[in-house]
Amino acid sequence: MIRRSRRLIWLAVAPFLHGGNRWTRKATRRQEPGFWLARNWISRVRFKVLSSLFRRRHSLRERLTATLVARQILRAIFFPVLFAAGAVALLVWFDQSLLPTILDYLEKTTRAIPPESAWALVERALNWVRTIAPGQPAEGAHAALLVTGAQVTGAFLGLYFAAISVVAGNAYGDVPPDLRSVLIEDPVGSFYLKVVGFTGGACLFGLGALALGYSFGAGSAVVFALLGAASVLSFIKLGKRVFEFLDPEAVTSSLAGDIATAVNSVAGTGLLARDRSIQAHHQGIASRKLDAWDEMVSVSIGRSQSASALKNIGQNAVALLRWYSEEKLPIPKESYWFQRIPRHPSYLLDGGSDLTSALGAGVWMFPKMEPDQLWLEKRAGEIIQRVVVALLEKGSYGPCVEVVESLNGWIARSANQLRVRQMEMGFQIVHRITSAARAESTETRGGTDRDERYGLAVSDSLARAIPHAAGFLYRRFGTPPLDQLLDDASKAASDESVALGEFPPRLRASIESFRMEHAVERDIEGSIQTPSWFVQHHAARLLSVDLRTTLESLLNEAEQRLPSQAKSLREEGAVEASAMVIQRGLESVSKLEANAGNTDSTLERLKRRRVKAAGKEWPDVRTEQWKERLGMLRLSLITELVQLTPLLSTKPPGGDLPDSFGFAYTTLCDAMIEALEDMDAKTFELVYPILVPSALTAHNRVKSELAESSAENVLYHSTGVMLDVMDISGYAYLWKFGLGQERFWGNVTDVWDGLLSRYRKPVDLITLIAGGEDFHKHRLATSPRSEIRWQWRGRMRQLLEDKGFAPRDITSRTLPNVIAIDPVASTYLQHWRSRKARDLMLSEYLLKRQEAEGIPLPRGVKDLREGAKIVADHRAKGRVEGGPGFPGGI
Amino acid sequence: MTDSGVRSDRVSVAYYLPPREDDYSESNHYPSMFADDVARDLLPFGGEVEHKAVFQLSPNDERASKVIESAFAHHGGHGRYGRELSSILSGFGNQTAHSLVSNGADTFEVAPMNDANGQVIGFSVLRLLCVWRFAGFTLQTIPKNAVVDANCANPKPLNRRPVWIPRDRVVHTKLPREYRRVPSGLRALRHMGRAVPDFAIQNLNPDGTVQIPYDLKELRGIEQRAVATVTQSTGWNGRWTFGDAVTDYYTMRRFLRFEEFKIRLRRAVTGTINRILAVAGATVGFTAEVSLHHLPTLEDIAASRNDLAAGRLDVGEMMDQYSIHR
Repeated sequence: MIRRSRRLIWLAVAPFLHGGNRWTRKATRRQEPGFWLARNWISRVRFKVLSSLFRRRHSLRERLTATLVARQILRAIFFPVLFAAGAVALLVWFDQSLLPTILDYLEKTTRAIPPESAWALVERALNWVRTIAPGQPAEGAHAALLVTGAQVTGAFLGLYFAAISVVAGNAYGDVPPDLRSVLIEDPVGSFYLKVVGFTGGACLFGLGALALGYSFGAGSAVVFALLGAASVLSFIKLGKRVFEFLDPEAVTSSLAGDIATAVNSVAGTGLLARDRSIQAHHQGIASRKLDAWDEMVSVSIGRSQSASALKNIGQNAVALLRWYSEEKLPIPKESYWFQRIPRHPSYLLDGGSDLTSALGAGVWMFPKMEPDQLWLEKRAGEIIQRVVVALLEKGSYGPCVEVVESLNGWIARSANQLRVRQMEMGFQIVHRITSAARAESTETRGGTDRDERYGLAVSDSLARAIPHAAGFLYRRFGTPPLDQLLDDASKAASDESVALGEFPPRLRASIESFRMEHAVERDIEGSIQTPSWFVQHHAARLLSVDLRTTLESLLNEAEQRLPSQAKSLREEGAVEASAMVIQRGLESVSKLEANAGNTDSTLERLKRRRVKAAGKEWPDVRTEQWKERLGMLRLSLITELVQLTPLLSTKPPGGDLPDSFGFAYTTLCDAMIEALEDMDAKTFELVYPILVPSALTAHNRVKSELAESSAENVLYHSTGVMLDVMDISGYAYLWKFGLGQERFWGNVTDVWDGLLSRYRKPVDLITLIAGGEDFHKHRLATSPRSEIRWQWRGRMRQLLEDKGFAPRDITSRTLPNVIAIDPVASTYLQHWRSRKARDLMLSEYLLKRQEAEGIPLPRGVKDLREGAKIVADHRAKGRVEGGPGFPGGI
Repeated sequence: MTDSGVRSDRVSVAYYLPPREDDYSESNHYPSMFADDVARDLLPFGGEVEHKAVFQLSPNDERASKVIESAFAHHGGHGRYGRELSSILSGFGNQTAHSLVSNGADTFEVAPMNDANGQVIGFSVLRLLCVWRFAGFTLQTIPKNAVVDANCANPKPLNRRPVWIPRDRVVHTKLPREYRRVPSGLRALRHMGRAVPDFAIQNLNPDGTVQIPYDLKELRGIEQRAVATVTQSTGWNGRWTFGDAVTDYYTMRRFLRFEEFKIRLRRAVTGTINRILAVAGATVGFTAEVSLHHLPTLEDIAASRNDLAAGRLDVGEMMDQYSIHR
């Protein structure tokens, strides 16, 4: 004892024996073993106090939950009890007041009645009534009440256990223990059992007291009666509640509530929330609840629950994810709420004293236990995955799509908040669902007839995750309130009361770090020394990193998943689903292109916050790299589409499903125009051989679609799709004779040579195209295809203008580029506005072929040839085009 | 007396204090680190910055210069005659700075050097250890563990009696007023900074586990904060000991403060040298002063502070600007 006291005294005095300040005293104190022993003792006591506090709070919380239900029950039984009590009160009043008054009155009035009269009989009856009137309690009434109370409570205990046994036997008999605990640990049931047990016990004790000769008054009779009535009437509500345990949705809602309670318990700033043991305890609770949830999925699948029930389980899991994503933000990163996972150090990078020790001892470097920030998301993701796959197995595509769409919403929200890891986790869940669904399908159906099994909407919603997230990312930073965000970050760094929920994760971590650094500065200097521009510099830098990382993560995801997914679906025969994936892929490319541009400009804006003194490190902007990668992704999707198009159904669409073939044909046409714009002969050569036969297929399909329409209308629309290819081919001619890009036109002639050589009656085809062109020329109407071709024309004109082949004014005669080229191309360009590119294809290829002899020339071709002849004649005479006296085209 | 007949007319006793066991252990970690950092970067080795001498004598008297060189030459570990004056004074300055930041003060005896005829031909500057000062008087004591300094010119058996040093021979110097609490503060941390605390090593279980349940992370954090607060006025960054706990901006502010501290310390050291020269000059017969050149000034610090506050300062450039080893 004396030794210990001496130690404590030394501990208190030693720091003051040195110079220095309070920090040196603190440091000195920590050099004494007594300090750590005392602290260890205090922390043990603290733990005991906290655990006791926690148990009490937990118990209180359970009681509160039970009380809430009890209130509901009381509300439900209030009026029945009131009516019953009212009736009893009425009887009491009748017995004690009304009846004696009546009797007294009758007694007074019947005194004069002679005994032999009829009234004498009445008086005798009244005398009998007096024997049971109030004021003369029936012997053993209390005993009867208590006996009845004990019997009633016993009976209802039995009934309640019978109900529980029915549920347990039917629904929980063969379930794992984690799930069974949901029923066993139900706080409301426990509370009811306690009340009923108490009532029964009280009645029995009351009986014992009576037996010993004690007596009870009116008040105790009322209490016993009320308790008995409550036990009986509460059963109406609770009995029903027991059967809710048969409903998976109700059970998962209850589990979600328990998890939410655990999250709220560790998200606060109180003593209990900061204690590691309590954090770990809550993590354990949540983990067990998730186990039970997972088992509920297994049980529901095993018992062939309805699709709606399964869907609700999945929706509840997604709802939990959404709620948790926001609520977990205040939880410190190092909290033991986050499950610890081992991370093995890198021998080449981590090294240090650990490596020396490991080498010395001849063992591995010990892994470090690090918090897994996404442990709950992983578990919930597994549940969602199982639910969706089970729904797919059932063929319940609608509910399945609903769950996946909810999940997509969560992923998009994560992208919007720049929570990259969370977003990637969401993509992993989607990917696992896609893989699991495919594996299941292949196993059961041998990989055939995928569309029927898989459901187009499901594959579409699974593929939609990426473009949906890309859209939300753009929404967040389309018009970013960056300045406000950075100012807020600066304020939050110095003011601990500012909530950090709205900041992206990396920035939030940085602000937390600044807060600690500012605390040190306050301790050393008495005030914060770091200026706000320094914080804003780092906030802008980290925001730039977050933006770039999110975009690149989306890009990676699109690159890794979409083309391969489309390919594997095509190989499995799910061609329509494959087309869906390609469509979503192209949508992703489009949105990511917009995002890339936007991210680029946002990064430039953020760069303005860069301060020389705050550091040199700054994320580089990779706009060109992004563009190149997006171009490659687009090409790989187009390549996949090229292979898919011949496999797609050419039946007229019924409107119930998307028009996959029409999408493929139109997208390939657009890809051709883009290839021409980019001078990309490789893509042109890839797509054009497929485009030409597809145009013929499209022609036939339009004829079938318009089978009941007029012949003129059929001709107009069916040849319209052929003219798309003619226009594209005409541009290829211009690219050769105008821009010197020969490969385009070479590919066109090769493809048509091959096609016409295989065609049974090539003259019919040429006649159809030429006639169609003439027909279109004379019809004063626009078709949907002609509008698209008009847009192509604008794009091509822009490029030709840029290259010096088409001026903005009406004539281009004086342009040296135009004068120098082939007369046909020159004639076309000189009168760009009145001509169509397809005239070039018709004039210079199709109608020049041997098979075309005798086919009447369309008007545009005639004009073009005459104009070209004049140009050639003038050139032969040495006259300069566009010069004085030059007649020009027609 | 030397071979050439030159002898030092010193009053103080020359002795040598053998190092204590603590001097070679990890004790004194922070104080010695601080003193080393100050002494290493106060004045350039070789006395030159970009081939320009930092100390200049005025008036430029060659005889006086030789006398001064020989007087200071054995300080700073470069005890070789014939070195450049600036180099020798830099060595002396660094050693004095080390002593000042370790102990807060330093005392010298300026002793005349006589030739065989008793003629004063120079002087020597002797650093005095274990000195008591009161009312302007200086008393040198001889500790029990002191041994005869075999390297001194006239080794004699040690007499343990204290010695009064005449007032006109003593030059006493102290740290500038605003930094005087730093050495005592650092001494409070002398047992800290070890990889594993003493108590943990002393209380090991037989299986090698630690008996005392201590938190190394907390221990380090408090130590770092203690070092940072103790050296707050000097701006010493503790060789980035607490670099992770503060912002880079604050680290740079401290860096500038440390540079300011060194400038003030250089002034103090230069003042000490001039006082020694004044005392010696009166005996030997010369009048000379030294001044500092080509080193950062307080104006530079003020400009850097303004640039830093405005965010214009580059860390690398700033480090280069204040580097004296160029």
